[in-house]
Amino acid sequence: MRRLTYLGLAALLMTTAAATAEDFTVKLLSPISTETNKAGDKITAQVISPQQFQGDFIEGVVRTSKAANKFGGKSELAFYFNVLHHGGKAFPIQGDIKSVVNSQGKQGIDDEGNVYKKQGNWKKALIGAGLGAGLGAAVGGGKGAAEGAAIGTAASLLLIEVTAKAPKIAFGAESQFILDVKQQ
Amino acid sequence: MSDIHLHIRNKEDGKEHVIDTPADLRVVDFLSELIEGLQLPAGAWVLDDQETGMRLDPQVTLSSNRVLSGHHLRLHRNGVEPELPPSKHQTPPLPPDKDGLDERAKEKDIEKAPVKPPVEPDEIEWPWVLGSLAVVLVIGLLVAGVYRWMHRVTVTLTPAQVEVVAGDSAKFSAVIKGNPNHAIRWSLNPRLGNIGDDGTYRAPLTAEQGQKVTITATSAADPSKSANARITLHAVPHVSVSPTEATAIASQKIQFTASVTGSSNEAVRWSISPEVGNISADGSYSAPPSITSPSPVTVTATSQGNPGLSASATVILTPPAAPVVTSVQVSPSHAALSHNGQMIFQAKVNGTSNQRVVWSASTGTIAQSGAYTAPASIEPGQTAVITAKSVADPRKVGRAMIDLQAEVDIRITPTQITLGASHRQQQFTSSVSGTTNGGVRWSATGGTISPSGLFTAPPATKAAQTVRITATSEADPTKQAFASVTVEPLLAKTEEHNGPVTQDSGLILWSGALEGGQTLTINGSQASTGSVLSGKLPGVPVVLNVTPLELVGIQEAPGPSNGWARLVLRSRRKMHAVVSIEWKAIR
Repeated sequence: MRRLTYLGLAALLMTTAAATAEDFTVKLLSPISTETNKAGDKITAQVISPQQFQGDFIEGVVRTSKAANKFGGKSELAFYFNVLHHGGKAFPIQGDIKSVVNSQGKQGIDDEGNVYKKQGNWKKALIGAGLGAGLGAAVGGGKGAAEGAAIGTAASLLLIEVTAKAPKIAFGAESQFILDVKQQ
Repeated sequence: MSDIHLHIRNKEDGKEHVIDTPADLRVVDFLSELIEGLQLPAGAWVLDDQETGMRLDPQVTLSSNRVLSGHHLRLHRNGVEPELPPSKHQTPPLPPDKDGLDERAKEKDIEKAPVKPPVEPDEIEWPWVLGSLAVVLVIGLLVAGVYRWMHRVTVTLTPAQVEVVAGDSAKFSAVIKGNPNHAIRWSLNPRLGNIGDDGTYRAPLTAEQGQKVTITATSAADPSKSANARITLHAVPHVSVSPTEATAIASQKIQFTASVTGSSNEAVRWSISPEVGNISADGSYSAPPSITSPSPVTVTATSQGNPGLSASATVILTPPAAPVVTSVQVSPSHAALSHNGQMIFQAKVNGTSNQRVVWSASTGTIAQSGAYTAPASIEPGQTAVITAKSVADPRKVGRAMIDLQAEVDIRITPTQITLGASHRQQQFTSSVSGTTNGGVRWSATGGTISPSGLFTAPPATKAAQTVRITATSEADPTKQAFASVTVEPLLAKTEEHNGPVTQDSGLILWSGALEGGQTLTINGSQASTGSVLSGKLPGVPVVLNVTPLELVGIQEAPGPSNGWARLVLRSRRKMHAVVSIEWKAIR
């Protein structure tokens, strides 16, 4: 039954992405920054769109938080969302960030003015797709293989990574992220 | 008396008779022999000396008549010359006499009278002549050899050997024989010293003992002729001591060495004056075991070979030096501390091994270990001076300066009020301590607040509103104080809140102390440490902000996983502050 629910959500997610071409827009509910957060800190965001998930909440974890030292260097902030709360249940997800809007409503930069630059790891994506396809085939045959490949690809791009040659990277509460969310 | 030979010339035929006769023969006897020898007739024959023109006195000798050998005599009788017999020597005809008569005619009357028989040519003995010539030649050669030997060039130089002390001189004399040129050229080998034209040699001022110099006198006329003399140089007798000066503390040993030059006996005898300490035969001086005041001791080395020669050195006996403290250094020399702050100071005493110091502080407290504690109350701009005084030399001190930094503390009054429809404004006041700048900047999350702190509430809504008032120190913007204002709704709700959402927003004020890295968990209105001054987590989805965010970070935000009821904060560093958590419910 749980497996069927997951498959249903996955189908919903894929259907949503394929039919409406809409991405997930989520809003941070508390600030995060390289100055105050550490790896392992928990973060929460609310889904603004698509409409099917509007008002739902997703939770994530800070993976890397490194502020530049006083002599310079790069700041690095990486976090990911891994749980979607929908309909009274929690679903493991993975999301690929596409864009950011800071808490002042400015797109493409964080609250410190650092320009967000998407960083993908396509080698990991291909490996993840292969693993996902194998897993999907084992569960649901040919169709499952296709879904598994999509999920696997998403799974490899889950990190929201921002690096900047700046003292710190910060996103205030109500900063928004546009994600491509897949069920894990 | 020796013989003289006279010439009797015949006027006619020029024949001449040469007659040898004793010079002391009387003329009359000589005439007799002529008459007899020339077989002349008797008569009054007379002789005239043609050299002098005088007639010879017959009664005296030929020499008395000043007839000399080689004179020509004329024999005649009454002016008539006899005819002489032929002579072996042909002579040219005689010139006529003054009277015009031919002399040869006159001689016709004279009888021929040969004096001696003529010598025949075949009578010469040639071997005898040649032998004589050879003998003469040999004798000549011998005479020439002897002459050359007796007149050879020789150079004699005296003295042949002499010893000269460095700096002294010696006189040499050279004699040249066999040549009238007596000029001398002097030379030295090696060229040590110099020699004048008069043969005076001057030795160099310094010389190695036993150095040999050869002096040569060479004949200027015959450079192949020379004579040598040898000079042996001697160094000036001298004694030296090393070191010439020294200082010694009690019981210290100093080794002296002596050097004797210019003498074959290099041994010395050591002595000291005054007799303070002692010196060994090998020159090792030992200072006395105790010295009370600086005093000199003269160390003397005297030549045993020449007791008149000596050299001295001076030893300054030095009493033990008192420790001299040059300075005291306190580190750190400058520091900054806030109230009750602690720091350990260290002192270094230079110039002595006694590192003990006495610590003191102008304010605050300092232990004799150097641990300083700042006062609990600090006035703005206050400083403290730390002093370390040397125990070895209390006149020497070291100091450090501490800037005492007052802790900026800001308080706001009132901290929490409720404003209703009839009471729309509230005057807030602030007090700032720890700085001379008591100014603050006022801000509010709703409504308005003037620079003087007069707050005007926002318009009332159906729901109660919470406004956070913030006073930020101008002197230290990191220091803030907060107050919470609840603005009552238009219609006050009287029913009991039964659900997660009773307000759209809220403010939680927490106060307490946290160590660096310490976490603070707020569940509802409960805090794991410190105390929640006001407000609580509503237990519904919220967006929240935490102030001051530079002091605390959000480790876990309220979310579905914790029922929106838990907030975990983490302190970035040790702090004692009020934390404001402003939340806004999500509908």
